[in-house]
Amino acid sequence: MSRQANRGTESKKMSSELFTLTYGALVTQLCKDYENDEDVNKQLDKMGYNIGVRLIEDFLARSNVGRCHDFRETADVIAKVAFKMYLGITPSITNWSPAGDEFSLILENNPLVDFVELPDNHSSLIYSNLLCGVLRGALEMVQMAVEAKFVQDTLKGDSVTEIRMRFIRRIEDNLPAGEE
Amino acid sequence: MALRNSTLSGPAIARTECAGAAGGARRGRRAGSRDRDSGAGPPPKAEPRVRAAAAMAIFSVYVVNKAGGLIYQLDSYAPRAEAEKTFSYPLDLLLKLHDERVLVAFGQRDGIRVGHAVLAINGADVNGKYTADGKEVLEYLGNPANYPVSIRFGRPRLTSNEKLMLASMFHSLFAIGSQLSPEQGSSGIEMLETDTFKLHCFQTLTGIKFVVLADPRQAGIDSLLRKIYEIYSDFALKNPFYSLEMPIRCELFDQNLKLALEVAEKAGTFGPGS
Repeated sequence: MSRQANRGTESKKMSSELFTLTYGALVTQLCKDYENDEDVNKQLDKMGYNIGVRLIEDFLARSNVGRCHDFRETADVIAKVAFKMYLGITPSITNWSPAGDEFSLILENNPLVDFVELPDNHSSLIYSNLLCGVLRGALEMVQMAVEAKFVQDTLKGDSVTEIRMRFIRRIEDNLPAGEE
Repeated sequence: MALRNSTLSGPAIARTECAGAAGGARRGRRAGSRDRDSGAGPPPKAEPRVRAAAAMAIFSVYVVNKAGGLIYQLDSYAPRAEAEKTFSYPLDLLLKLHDERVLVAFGQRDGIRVGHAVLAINGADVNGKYTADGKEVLEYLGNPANYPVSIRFGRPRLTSNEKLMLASMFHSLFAIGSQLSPEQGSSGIEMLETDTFKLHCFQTLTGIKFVVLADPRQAGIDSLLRKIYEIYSDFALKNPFYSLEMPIRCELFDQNLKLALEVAEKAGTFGPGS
Protein backbone atom coordinates (compact mmCIF):
# COMPACT_ATOMS: atom_id res chain seq x y z
CA MET A 1 0.00 0.00 0.00
CA SER A 2 1.73 3.09 -1.16
CA ARG A 3 1.42 6.30 0.76
CA GLN A 4 1.87 9.67 -0.75
CA ALA A 5 4.84 11.20 0.97
CA ASN A 6 4.15 14.84 0.27
CA ARG A 7 0.96 16.05 1.75
CA GLY A 8 -0.23 19.60 1.90
CA THR A 9 -0.64 19.76 5.64
CA GLU A 10 2.43 17.79 6.52
CA SER A 11 4.93 19.95 4.73
CA LYS A 12 3.84 23.00 6.72
CA LYS A 13 6.24 23.63 9.55
CA MET A 14 5.18 25.79 12.40
CA SER A 15 7.03 27.32 15.24
CA SER A 16 7.00 25.06 18.25
CA GLU A 17 7.23 28.17 20.39
CA LEU A 18 3.90 29.39 19.11
CA PHE A 19 2.47 26.00 20.01
CA THR A 20 3.93 26.17 23.50
CA LEU A 21 2.70 29.72 23.99
CA THR A 22 -0.79 28.86 22.75
CA TYR A 23 -0.99 26.00 25.19
CA GLY A 24 0.21 28.30 27.95
CA ALA A 25 -2.46 30.85 27.12
CA LEU A 26 -5.08 28.12 27.17
CA VAL A 27 -4.07 26.86 30.60
CA THR A 28 -3.85 30.32 32.15
CA GLN A 29 -7.26 31.21 30.78
CA LEU A 30 -8.67 28.04 32.31
CA CYS A 31 -7.04 28.99 35.60
CA LYS A 32 -8.86 32.33 35.45
CA ASP A 33 -12.17 30.72 34.54
CA TYR A 34 -12.16 28.05 37.19
CA GLU A 35 -11.81 28.49 40.91
CA ASN A 36 -9.63 25.57 41.78
CA ASP A 37 -6.92 23.56 40.14
CA GLU A 38 -8.90 20.34 40.26
CA ASP A 39 -11.45 21.78 37.86
CA VAL A 40 -8.74 23.00 35.54
CA ASN A 41 -7.16 19.56 35.51
CA LYS A 42 -10.52 18.06 34.71
CA GLN A 43 -11.10 20.49 31.85
CA LEU A 44 -7.67 19.85 30.39
CA ASP A 45 -8.31 16.13 30.49
CA LYS A 46 -11.68 16.60 28.79
CA MET A 47 -10.17 18.74 26.04
CA GLY A 48 -7.41 16.22 25.55
CA TYR A 49 -9.95 13.45 25.29
CA ASN A 50 -11.81 15.31 22.55
CA ILE A 51 -8.57 15.82 20.70
CA GLY A 52 -7.57 12.18 21.15
CA VAL A 53 -10.72 10.68 19.68
CA ARG A 54 -10.08 12.64 16.48
CA LEU A 55 -6.32 12.49 16.43
CA ILE A 56 -6.33 8.69 16.41
CA GLU A 57 -7.78 8.67 12.89
CA ASP A 58 -5.08 11.00 11.70
CA PHE A 59 -2.50 8.82 13.37
CA LEU A 60 -3.80 5.60 11.83
CA ALA A 61 -4.25 7.14 8.40
CA ARG A 62 -0.70 8.34 8.39
CA SER A 63 1.37 5.86 10.30
CA ASN A 64 0.20 2.57 8.80
CA VAL A 65 0.44 0.72 12.11
CA GLY A 66 -1.79 -2.28 12.57
CA ARG A 67 -3.84 -3.38 15.53
CA CYS A 68 -1.91 -4.06 18.74
CA HIS A 69 -2.64 -7.37 20.42
CA ASP A 70 -0.52 -6.71 23.46
CA PHE A 71 -0.13 -3.75 25.78
CA ARG A 72 3.64 -3.80 25.28
CA GLU A 73 3.13 -3.32 21.58
CA THR A 74 0.80 -0.41 22.33
CA ALA A 75 3.41 1.16 24.60
CA ASP A 76 6.01 0.93 21.86
CA VAL A 77 3.76 2.49 19.26
CA ILE A 78 2.78 5.33 21.59
CA ALA A 79 6.33 6.18 22.53
CA LYS A 80 8.19 5.57 19.30
CA VAL A 81 5.61 6.53 16.69
CA ALA A 82 2.90 8.71 18.18
CA PHE A 83 4.96 10.95 20.46
CA LYS A 84 7.59 11.25 17.76
CA MET A 85 5.01 12.24 15.19
CA TYR A 86 3.12 14.83 17.17
CA LEU A 87 5.55 16.19 19.74
CA GLY A 88 8.90 15.31 18.22
CA ILE A 89 10.09 13.46 21.30
CA THR A 90 10.54 9.80 22.11
CA PRO A 91 9.74 9.02 25.73
CA SER A 92 11.28 5.93 27.27
CA ILE A 93 9.13 3.12 28.55
CA THR A 94 9.94 1.80 32.02
CA ASN A 95 8.51 0.49 35.26
CA TRP A 96 6.40 -2.31 33.83
CA SER A 97 4.11 -3.84 36.41
CA PRO A 98 4.58 -7.61 36.86
CA ALA A 99 1.20 -8.27 35.23
CA GLY A 100 2.19 -6.21 32.21
CA ASP A 101 -0.80 -3.91 32.48
CA GLU A 102 0.95 -0.77 33.68
CA PHE A 103 3.94 1.15 32.45
CA SER A 104 5.48 4.59 32.64
CA LEU A 105 6.37 6.99 29.88
CA ILE A 106 9.37 9.07 30.91
CA LEU A 107 9.50 12.40 29.10
CA GLU A 108 12.95 13.84 29.41
CA ASN A 109 11.88 17.06 27.85
CA ASN A 110 8.28 18.09 27.59
CA PRO A 111 7.77 20.69 24.86
CA LEU A 112 4.64 22.00 26.57
CA VAL A 113 6.55 23.37 29.56
CA ASP A 114 9.50 25.05 27.86
CA PHE A 115 8.85 28.47 29.44
CA VAL A 116 6.69 27.52 32.38
CA GLU A 117 7.25 28.11 36.08
CA LEU A 118 4.41 26.97 38.27
CA PRO A 119 3.42 29.63 40.86
CA ASP A 120 2.93 28.57 44.48
CA ASN A 121 -0.82 29.10 44.47
CA HIS A 122 -1.23 26.51 41.72
CA SER A 123 0.55 23.68 43.44
CA SER A 124 -2.02 21.07 42.48
CA LEU A 125 -2.34 22.14 38.85
CA ILE A 126 -1.33 19.37 36.46
CA TYR A 127 -0.12 21.64 33.71
CA SER A 128 0.23 19.07 30.92
CA ASN A 129 -2.86 17.07 31.82
CA LEU A 130 -4.11 17.49 28.24
CA LEU A 131 -1.68 14.75 27.20
CA CYS A 132 -3.37 12.23 29.50
CA GLY A 133 -6.72 13.06 27.94
CA VAL A 134 -5.31 12.62 24.44
CA LEU A 135 -3.89 9.20 25.30
CA ARG A 136 -7.13 8.09 26.93
CA GLY A 137 -9.31 9.32 24.05
CA ALA A 138 -7.13 7.90 21.30
CA LEU A 139 -6.84 4.46 22.88
CA GLU A 140 -10.55 4.33 23.61
CA MET A 141 -11.23 4.62 19.87
CA VAL A 142 -9.15 1.50 19.25
CA GLN A 143 -11.13 -0.36 21.89
CA MET A 144 -8.73 -0.01 24.80
CA ALA A 145 -9.82 1.57 28.07
CA VAL A 146 -6.79 2.97 29.88
CA GLU A 147 -6.05 5.30 32.72
CA ALA A 148 -3.32 7.86 32.23
CA LYS A 149 -1.97 10.18 34.90
CA PHE A 150 1.06 12.24 35.74
CA VAL A 151 3.04 10.84 38.65
CA GLN A 152 6.12 13.01 38.28
CA ASP A 153 6.45 16.44 36.77
CA THR A 154 9.54 18.57 36.26
CA LEU A 155 7.36 21.59 37.01
CA LYS A 156 6.97 20.28 40.54
CA GLY A 157 10.64 19.74 41.10
CA ASP A 158 10.92 16.13 39.94
CA SER A 159 13.89 15.27 37.77
CA VAL A 160 11.76 13.86 34.94
CA THR A 161 8.17 13.92 33.79
CA GLU A 162 6.44 10.58 34.12
CA ILE A 163 3.06 9.53 32.77
CA ARG A 164 1.71 6.34 34.28
CA MET A 165 -0.48 4.29 31.97
CA ARG A 166 -2.75 1.56 33.27
CA PHE A 167 -4.66 -0.86 31.07
CA ILE A 168 -8.23 -1.31 32.31
CA ARG A 169 -9.98 -3.50 29.74
CA ARG A 170 -10.70 -4.12 26.11
CA ILE A 171 -13.93 -2.45 25.02
CA GLU A 172 -15.52 -5.44 23.34
CA ASP A 173 -18.96 -4.02 22.69
CA ASN A 174 -17.93 -1.61 19.95
CA LEU A 175 -15.33 -3.77 18.35
CA PRO A 176 -15.76 -3.38 14.58
CA ALA A 177 -16.79 -6.46 12.63
CA GLY A 178 -13.94 -8.59 11.43
CA GLU A 179 -11.66 -7.64 14.31
CA GLU A 180 -11.15 -10.43 16.81
CA MET B 1 -27.96 -6.81 -10.73
CA ALA B 2 -30.14 -3.88 -11.52
CA LEU B 3 -27.21 -1.79 -12.61
CA ARG B 4 -26.35 -4.20 -15.35
CA ASN B 5 -29.76 -3.74 -16.88
CA SER B 6 -29.34 -0.04 -17.15
CA THR B 7 -25.99 -0.41 -18.83
CA LEU B 8 -27.32 -2.85 -21.35
CA SER B 9 -30.03 -0.43 -22.23
CA GLY B 10 -27.35 2.15 -22.95
CA PRO B 11 -26.73 1.54 -26.66
CA ALA B 12 -30.38 1.84 -27.51
CA ILE B 13 -30.34 5.51 -26.63
CA ALA B 14 -28.96 8.03 -29.03
CA ARG B 15 -29.46 11.35 -27.38
CA THR B 16 -27.29 14.19 -28.45
CA GLU B 17 -29.06 17.09 -26.78
CA CYS B 18 -27.72 16.04 -23.40
CA ALA B 19 -23.96 15.60 -23.34
CA GLY B 20 -24.05 14.00 -19.92
CA ALA B 21 -26.44 11.29 -20.99
CA ALA B 22 -24.50 10.51 -24.14
CA GLY B 23 -21.25 10.33 -22.19
CA GLY B 24 -22.88 8.06 -19.70
CA ALA B 25 -24.10 5.74 -22.39
CA ARG B 26 -20.65 5.58 -23.90
CA ARG B 27 -19.09 4.82 -20.57
CA GLY B 28 -21.67 2.14 -20.12
CA ARG B 29 -20.40 0.43 -23.23
CA ARG B 30 -16.85 0.64 -22.05
CA ALA B 31 -17.70 -0.72 -18.67
CA GLY B 32 -19.66 -3.75 -19.76
CA SER B 33 -17.69 -5.48 -22.48
CA ARG B 34 -20.55 -7.67 -23.53
CA ASP B 35 -22.50 -4.64 -24.60
CA ARG B 36 -20.39 -4.65 -27.70
CA ASP B 37 -21.98 -7.92 -28.70
CA SER B 38 -25.44 -6.45 -28.59
CA GLY B 39 -24.46 -4.42 -31.64
CA ALA B 40 -27.62 -2.36 -31.62
CA GLY B 41 -25.88 0.80 -30.52
CA PRO B 42 -25.21 3.71 -32.83
CA PRO B 43 -21.60 4.36 -33.86
CA PRO B 44 -20.00 6.34 -31.06
CA LYS B 45 -19.57 9.98 -31.87
CA ALA B 46 -16.17 10.90 -30.55
CA GLU B 47 -16.51 14.39 -29.22
CA PRO B 48 -13.69 15.46 -26.91
CA ARG B 49 -16.15 16.38 -24.18
CA VAL B 50 -17.78 13.02 -24.34
CA ARG B 51 -14.40 11.34 -24.18
CA ALA B 52 -13.63 13.14 -20.96
CA ALA B 53 -16.84 11.88 -19.47
CA ALA B 54 -16.07 8.38 -20.66
CA ALA B 55 -12.80 8.36 -18.74
CA MET B 56 -14.64 8.70 -15.44
CA ALA B 57 -14.12 5.37 -13.81
CA ILE B 58 -14.89 5.96 -10.17
CA PHE B 59 -18.61 6.07 -9.70
CA SER B 60 -19.39 6.70 -6.05
CA VAL B 61 -17.89 7.14 -2.62
CA TYR B 62 -19.66 6.25 0.62
CA VAL B 63 -18.47 6.81 4.19
CA VAL B 64 -20.20 4.73 6.84
CA ASN B 65 -19.69 5.36 10.55
CA LYS B 66 -19.12 2.62 13.07
CA ALA B 67 -22.81 2.32 13.86
CA GLY B 68 -23.65 1.71 10.20
CA GLY B 69 -24.95 5.18 9.49
CA LEU B 70 -24.12 6.80 6.18
CA ILE B 71 -22.26 10.02 6.92
CA TYR B 72 -21.11 10.95 3.43
CA GLN B 73 -22.01 10.07 -0.12
CA LEU B 74 -20.78 11.33 -3.44
CA ASP B 75 -21.83 10.30 -6.95
CA SER B 76 -19.38 11.27 -9.64
CA TYR B 77 -21.00 9.79 -12.71
CA ALA B 78 -23.34 11.17 -15.29
CA PRO B 79 -26.65 9.34 -15.62
CA ARG B 80 -26.27 6.48 -18.05
CA ALA B 81 -29.49 5.77 -19.78
CA GLU B 82 -31.90 8.58 -20.35
CA ALA B 83 -34.33 9.27 -23.12
CA GLU B 84 -36.29 12.38 -23.91
CA LYS B 85 -39.30 12.48 -26.19
CA THR B 86 -42.01 14.90 -27.10
CA PHE B 87 -45.51 13.52 -26.74
CA SER B 88 -48.87 14.69 -27.97
CA TYR B 89 -52.15 13.90 -26.20
CA PRO B 90 -53.06 11.22 -25.32
CA LEU B 91 -49.91 9.77 -23.82
CA ASP B 92 -49.25 6.36 -25.34
CA LEU B 93 -47.42 5.07 -22.27
CA LEU B 94 -48.94 3.68 -19.13
CA LEU B 95 -47.55 5.47 -16.10
CA LYS B 96 -47.99 4.47 -12.49
CA LEU B 97 -47.17 5.90 -9.16
CA HIS B 98 -44.68 3.80 -7.22
CA ASP B 99 -42.74 4.75 -4.14
CA GLU B 100 -43.30 8.50 -4.57
CA ARG B 101 -42.11 8.33 -8.16
CA VAL B 102 -43.85 8.15 -11.51
CA LEU B 103 -42.67 5.05 -13.35
CA VAL B 104 -43.37 3.59 -16.76
CA ALA B 105 -45.60 0.58 -16.15
CA PHE B 106 -46.16 -0.52 -19.74
CA GLY B 107 -45.30 0.60 -23.24
CA GLN B 108 -41.59 0.17 -23.91
CA ARG B 109 -40.38 2.17 -26.91
CA ASP B 110 -37.72 4.55 -28.21
CA GLY B 111 -35.33 3.76 -25.40
CA ILE B 112 -37.96 4.33 -22.77
CA ARG B 113 -38.10 1.22 -20.67
CA VAL B 114 -40.55 -0.24 -18.26
CA GLY B 115 -39.34 0.82 -14.82
CA HIS B 116 -37.88 4.11 -15.97
CA ALA B 117 -38.99 7.12 -14.01
CA VAL B 118 -40.14 10.51 -15.21
CA LEU B 119 -37.10 12.69 -14.58
CA ALA B 120 -38.06 15.98 -16.19
CA ILE B 121 -40.99 17.62 -17.94
CA ASN B 122 -40.27 20.29 -20.53
CA GLY B 123 -36.68 20.45 -19.31
CA ALA B 124 -37.56 21.11 -15.66
CA ASP B 125 -36.61 18.34 -13.23
CA VAL B 126 -39.48 16.73 -11.42
CA ASN B 127 -39.39 16.32 -7.69
CA GLY B 128 -40.64 12.82 -6.93
CA LYS B 129 -44.25 12.75 -8.01
CA TYR B 130 -44.50 16.52 -8.27
CA THR B 131 -43.45 18.80 -11.11
CA ALA B 132 -41.01 21.61 -10.51
CA ASP B 133 -43.86 24.01 -9.72
CA GLY B 134 -45.56 21.65 -7.29
CA LYS B 135 -48.29 20.04 -9.40
CA GLU B 136 -48.80 16.29 -9.44
CA VAL B 137 -47.09 14.76 -12.46
CA LEU B 138 -49.92 12.35 -13.28
CA GLU B 139 -52.51 15.09 -13.08
CA TYR B 140 -50.40 17.40 -15.25
CA LEU B 141 -49.97 14.73 -17.90
CA GLY B 142 -53.68 13.94 -17.79
CA ASN B 143 -54.59 17.42 -18.92
CA PRO B 144 -54.78 17.80 -22.74
CA ALA B 145 -54.08 21.53 -22.43
CA ASN B 146 -50.49 20.83 -21.41
CA TYR B 147 -49.58 19.05 -24.64
CA PRO B 148 -47.35 18.77 -26.59
CA VAL B 149 -45.04 17.97 -23.74
CA SER B 150 -41.46 16.81 -23.67
CA ILE B 151 -40.70 14.20 -21.01
CA ARG B 152 -37.33 12.83 -20.02
CA PHE B 153 -37.24 9.27 -18.77
CA GLY B 154 -34.43 7.43 -17.11
CA ARG B 155 -33.49 4.91 -14.50
CA PRO B 156 -34.61 6.30 -11.17
CA ARG B 157 -31.68 7.51 -9.08
CA LEU B 158 -31.31 6.26 -5.56
CA THR B 159 -32.88 8.66 -3.12
CA SER B 160 -30.84 9.70 -0.12
CA ASN B 161 -33.12 7.56 2.03
CA GLU B 162 -32.41 4.51 -0.08
CA LYS B 163 -28.69 5.21 0.06
CA LEU B 164 -28.90 5.43 3.84
CA MET B 165 -30.72 2.13 3.95
CA LEU B 166 -28.31 0.39 1.58
CA ALA B 167 -25.32 1.68 3.50
CA SER B 168 -26.54 0.25 6.77
CA MET B 169 -27.44 -2.96 5.01
CA PHE B 170 -23.90 -3.20 3.67
CA HIS B 171 -22.63 -2.55 7.17
CA SER B 172 -24.50 -5.66 8.33
CA LEU B 173 -23.38 -7.72 5.34
CA PHE B 174 -19.81 -6.77 6.14
CA ALA B 175 -20.27 -8.16 9.65
CA ILE B 176 -21.97 -11.29 8.31
CA GLY B 177 -19.10 -11.73 5.90
CA SER B 178 -16.58 -11.89 8.69
CA GLN B 179 -18.78 -14.25 10.70
CA LEU B 180 -19.24 -16.64 7.79
CA SER B 181 -15.52 -17.07 7.42
CA PRO B 182 -14.21 -20.56 8.17
CA GLU B 183 -10.88 -19.00 9.11
CA GLN B 184 -10.19 -17.23 12.38
CA GLY B 185 -9.88 -13.48 12.31
CA SER B 186 -11.11 -12.86 8.81
CA SER B 187 -11.93 -9.33 7.75
CA GLY B 188 -15.32 -8.40 6.39
CA ILE B 189 -16.16 -7.82 2.74
CA GLU B 190 -13.31 -5.98 1.08
CA MET B 191 -14.48 -6.26 -2.49
CA LEU B 192 -17.66 -7.09 -4.34
CA GLU B 193 -17.50 -7.70 -8.05
CA THR B 194 -20.22 -7.38 -10.64
CA ASP B 195 -19.77 -7.22 -14.39
CA THR B 196 -20.12 -3.46 -14.53
CA PHE B 197 -18.47 -2.24 -11.37
CA LYS B 198 -16.47 -3.27 -8.35
CA LEU B 199 -17.21 -2.22 -4.81
CA HIS B 200 -14.12 -1.73 -2.66
CA CYS B 201 -14.45 -1.37 1.08
CA PHE B 202 -11.82 -0.37 3.60
CA GLN B 203 -12.57 -0.49 7.31
CA THR B 204 -10.29 1.40 9.66
CA LEU B 205 -9.22 0.10 13.04
CA THR B 206 -11.76 2.41 14.64
CA GLY B 207 -14.57 0.93 12.57
CA ILE B 208 -15.26 3.57 9.93
CA LYS B 209 -15.87 2.20 6.46
CA PHE B 210 -14.87 3.85 3.23
CA VAL B 211 -16.60 2.38 0.20
CA VAL B 212 -15.70 3.16 -3.39
CA LEU B 213 -17.62 1.96 -6.44
CA ALA B 214 -15.43 1.92 -9.51
CA ASP B 215 -14.97 0.46 -12.95
CA PRO B 216 -13.78 -3.15 -12.63
CA ARG B 217 -10.58 -2.28 -14.48
CA GLN B 218 -9.76 0.80 -12.46
CA ALA B 219 -6.48 0.22 -10.65
CA GLY B 220 -5.08 1.84 -7.54
CA ILE B 221 -8.26 1.79 -5.49
CA ASP B 222 -6.43 0.55 -2.39
CA SER B 223 -4.27 3.62 -2.25
CA LEU B 224 -7.27 5.80 -3.08
CA LEU B 225 -9.07 4.39 -0.03
CA ARG B 226 -6.09 5.21 2.17
CA LYS B 227 -6.01 8.66 0.66
CA ILE B 228 -9.69 9.18 1.42
CA TYR B 229 -8.99 8.13 5.00
CA GLU B 230 -6.32 10.82 5.22
CA ILE B 231 -8.64 13.40 3.70
CA TYR B 232 -11.29 12.41 6.22
CA SER B 233 -8.91 12.74 9.13
CA ASP B 234 -7.61 16.06 7.82
CA PHE B 235 -10.63 17.92 6.59
CA ALA B 236 -13.49 16.42 8.56
CA LEU B 237 -11.97 15.49 11.91
CA LYS B 238 -9.61 18.43 12.19
CA ASN B 239 -12.43 20.82 11.52
CA PRO B 240 -13.34 21.74 15.11
CA PHE B 241 -16.97 22.31 14.15
CA TYR B 242 -17.44 18.84 12.74
CA SER B 243 -19.02 16.52 15.28
CA LEU B 244 -17.91 12.92 15.27
CA GLU B 245 -20.18 10.29 13.73
CA MET B 246 -22.36 12.95 12.13
CA PRO B 247 -22.88 13.61 8.41
CA ILE B 248 -19.88 15.34 6.86
CA ARG B 249 -20.79 18.74 5.51
CA CYS B 250 -17.38 20.28 5.00
CA GLU B 251 -16.50 22.23 1.92
CA LEU B 252 -12.81 21.39 2.15
CA PHE B 253 -13.52 17.70 2.50
CA ASP B 254 -15.64 17.82 -0.65
CA GLN B 255 -13.02 19.67 -2.65
CA ASN B 256 -10.14 17.48 -1.63
CA LEU B 257 -12.08 14.28 -2.15
CA LYS B 258 -13.04 15.30 -5.68
CA LEU B 259 -9.43 16.18 -6.36
CA ALA B 260 -8.27 12.79 -5.11
CA LEU B 261 -10.83 11.03 -7.31
CA GLU B 262 -9.63 12.92 -10.35
CA VAL B 263 -6.02 12.06 -9.61
CA ALA B 264 -6.89 8.41 -9.05
CA GLU B 265 -8.84 8.23 -12.28
CA LYS B 266 -5.96 9.63 -14.24
CA ALA B 267 -3.35 7.50 -12.53
CA GLY B 268 -5.32 4.25 -12.46
CA THR B 269 -4.34 2.40 -15.59
CA PHE B 270 -6.91 0.39 -17.41
CA GLY B 271 -6.12 -3.14 -18.36
CA PRO B 272 -5.88 -4.29 -21.98
CA GLY B 273 -8.88 -3.77 -24.16
CA SER B 274 -9.69 -0.22 -23.19
